[in-house]
Amino acid sequence: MRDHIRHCDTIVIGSGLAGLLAAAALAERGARVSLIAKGGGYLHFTSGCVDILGADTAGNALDDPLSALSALIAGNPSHPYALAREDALEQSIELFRRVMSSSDYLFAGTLSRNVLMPTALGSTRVTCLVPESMAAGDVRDDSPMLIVGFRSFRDFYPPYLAANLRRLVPFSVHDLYLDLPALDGRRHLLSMDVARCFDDPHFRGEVIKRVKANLHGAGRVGFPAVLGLDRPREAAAHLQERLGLPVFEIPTLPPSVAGIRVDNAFRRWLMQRGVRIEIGFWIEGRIDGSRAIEIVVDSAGHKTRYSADAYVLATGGTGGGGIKAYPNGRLQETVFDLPVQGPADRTAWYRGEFLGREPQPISLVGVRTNGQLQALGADSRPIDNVLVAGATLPSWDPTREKSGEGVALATGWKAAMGAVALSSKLNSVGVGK
Amino acid sequence: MYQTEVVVIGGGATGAGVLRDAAMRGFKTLLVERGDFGTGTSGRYHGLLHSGARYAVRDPVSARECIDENRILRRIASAAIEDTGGLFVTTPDDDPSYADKFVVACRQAGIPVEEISVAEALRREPLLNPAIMRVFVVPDGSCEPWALIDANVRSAREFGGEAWNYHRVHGFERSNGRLDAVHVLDTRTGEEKTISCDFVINAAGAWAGQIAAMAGPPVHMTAGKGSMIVMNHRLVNTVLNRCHMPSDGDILVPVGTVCIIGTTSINVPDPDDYEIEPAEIDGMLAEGEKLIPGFSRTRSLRAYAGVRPLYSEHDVSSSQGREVTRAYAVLQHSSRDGVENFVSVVGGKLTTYRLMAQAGVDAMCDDLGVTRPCRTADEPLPGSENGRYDSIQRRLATIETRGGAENALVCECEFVQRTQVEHVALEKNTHDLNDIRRELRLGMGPCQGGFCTYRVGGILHELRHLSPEVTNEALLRFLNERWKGIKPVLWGDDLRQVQLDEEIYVNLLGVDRLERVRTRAQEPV
Repeated sequence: MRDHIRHCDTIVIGSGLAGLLAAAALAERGARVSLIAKGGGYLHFTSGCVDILGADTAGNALDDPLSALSALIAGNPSHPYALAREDALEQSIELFRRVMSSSDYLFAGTLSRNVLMPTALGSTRVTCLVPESMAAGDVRDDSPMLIVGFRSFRDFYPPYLAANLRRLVPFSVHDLYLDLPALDGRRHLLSMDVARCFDDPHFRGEVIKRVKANLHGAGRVGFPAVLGLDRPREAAAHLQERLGLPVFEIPTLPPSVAGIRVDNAFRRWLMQRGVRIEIGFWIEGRIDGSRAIEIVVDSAGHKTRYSADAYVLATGGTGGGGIKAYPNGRLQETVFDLPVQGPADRTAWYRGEFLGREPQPISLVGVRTNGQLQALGADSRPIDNVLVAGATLPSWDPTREKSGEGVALATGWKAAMGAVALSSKLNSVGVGK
Repeated sequence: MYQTEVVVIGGGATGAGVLRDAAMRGFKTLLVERGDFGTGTSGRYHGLLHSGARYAVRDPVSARECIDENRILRRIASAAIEDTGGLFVTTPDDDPSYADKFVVACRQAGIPVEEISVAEALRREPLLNPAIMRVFVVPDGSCEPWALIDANVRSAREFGGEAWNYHRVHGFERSNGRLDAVHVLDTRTGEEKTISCDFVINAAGAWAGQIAAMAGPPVHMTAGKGSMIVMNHRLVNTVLNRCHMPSDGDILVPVGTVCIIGTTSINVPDPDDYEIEPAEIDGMLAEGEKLIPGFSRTRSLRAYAGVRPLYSEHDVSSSQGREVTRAYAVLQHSSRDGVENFVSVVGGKLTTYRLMAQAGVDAMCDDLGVTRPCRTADEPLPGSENGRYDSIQRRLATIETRGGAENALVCECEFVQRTQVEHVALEKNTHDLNDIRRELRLGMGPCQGGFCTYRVGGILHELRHLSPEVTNEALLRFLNERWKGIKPVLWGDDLRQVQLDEEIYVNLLGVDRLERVRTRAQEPV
């Protein structure tokens, strides 16, 4: 079987937020980019919000992520934020907003202020930027809430949510189930199914009618994050106008409609700019000395070899599949087999209780880099053209810091800038910022 | 003060069997169990319905008991038993001379055994090691312990028997060589109860020594820890055994959607305090490779351990567990210790639970001087009247024919529907997700509760009008119980799953902030 060889300026490996942002940053600078990944990326499992830095090490909520970030960078020089710096975060957020608004999907909030959003359990989560469709949910506003769910939708329980939230907030929280014939004929509704229903104005009309009859004096109305997949602004505006009240979405169990909207917006934007996206194949990279020379993609029926001036490695950590953990304690970076920093003994990966406050040691493992995010090889010398971004980086715990999207964006940006610097073509014609 | 004729202590298979047997013989009988039914050794075994072949060479008494009971259980408990059949295979790592001794011993014990060609074995089980040399077919099976125990309890209730779970025995009232009453604590309400009775049957398994000590007579039990690993796939459809002297990691049992490799054998001082050692896991995975090449690289789901109730008249704690007989013993404390209305049923194994129960109740009849014949081998258990196995395929068929919100799948891994959860929660009067799990296998599949826990929390909160605090506690308790079993096998895809579960519960649902009551002055966000 003949090998096919393709060349481009940069190959981004991984389709999570870090990889998508890196590909966008490169495409914006005129680079020929391929985005190649084994799977669909982590966005389908997330809240769809942009966490920047939400909690300190004691678990206390942080009010101002930007100033907390400076303290974090000063105190923890190995944290990915310390490598990327505030500037990369700010630039990446601007690009993120540009990509989202190109799909008419807008985010509310600023980097200097966190918000406190209700969860589907009726707890709260600290985040920073939220889709407009969630903004009215901030529990610091004292407007009474009505939480609406759908009886046949198994991933959202308004009474349980409301009962928990009532303990935490000073305003009243009512709950309401809707029995909608359009949903009841179906057995196992996923959030995606309900979201598609909300793209239909007739369905929304039915929801509006029933909610209006049961408002309980609410000042705002919360729904699971299923208010439309393709035209969420239209859906939210319609509901808000007809109910005469602010409407907000609450993220719930995966698949995450809000995360998928972000994913779709990125893909649309990238494809419009000629970025080649290939998802679903095993990828093996080859390194020679201090450079990566090619990757081999195990696509259907044949292997395709790609070479590039630079490679952005954004394959995720042990959760995302970028790092595989073996029973003998081996931690393997799955594309280039780069050294992974972390305990080489599986009994040291987890300690204490599950879901506890302390980060688990396994959450902190990753591929070590220098300050330019260049991966460090076996002898701790940099692999010049492999730039690491997102959860593949060590020394951070998105779940406990509430920093997942911010780190992905900032390091995706920083890695992309490193790749731009490495690209002979881009440098010679002087494209770029 | 409660009043009954017979108190049975222990709600495992043996205790439930004793309850049913005594109730069927017309005794007013009450069973007390400190946890939920089947939470001791019975619910923590590999699920193998023995043909007896495993014990044929070393322990022929046990082997004969097993084959007799195997035949009876297929008849009376079909809903809980899948007729997988069993294979004994001689791998290149096994002493080839064992096979001939094995066949002779099986025949002597009355166990049907038939040699088949390696090619035929590979046709039946394609993942089997092709380097095996000999293969024997025996009538092993796969047994769902909770379904079996539940059916015994339900049957007993039809005959007037009663069973209290979450009631812990903490003492006896004694006079003149008799036990007059049993003191129990309702662990869910904190209520103390005294049950006056004519007779006590101790079926507390590995805990039988502790119970007997409270009653007076010394019964020396040894807790023999056995660990098992649940594999994510049903790699085999037949029970696989190595054809050699019983050892570690040499049984692989298909159970529902998964399969289970077992076991290890390490005596532990306390049946309530033991851990699974990493070396046990590594050892079983390595042994699994000999049966199924590539075994250690397939996904494991969780590990668990149970304690065998090993009994010997002499202290055996210093010997290796596998050398102690797996035959059972009935201790008639009237003649043995001068306590005239007390019997302990000890040792044995799940496959022989019915026989042990029969012998225990026979001993009681003997002490009481009455003759009432045992009928447990003749009448099928509830749910098994039609002789069919209650398979997951039947669950799927039900789901396919029932629509509507109330039939939505709550647990996709094990096909559990909302109505089933509601039914069990009401019938068992519980909001404990583990109680529901044992009945429905909820949360026992690949995601280990990642998705269904939140859903069941929402459902139970509504159904049982629980406070949010109680619901949250039940939810977190279940996740942590699942976590205990996952922890020993955390690598590869299991590790990825756990990270997803963390993402869902901490990041998406905010369990870390559930107790952060907001007061504007204290915390701005």
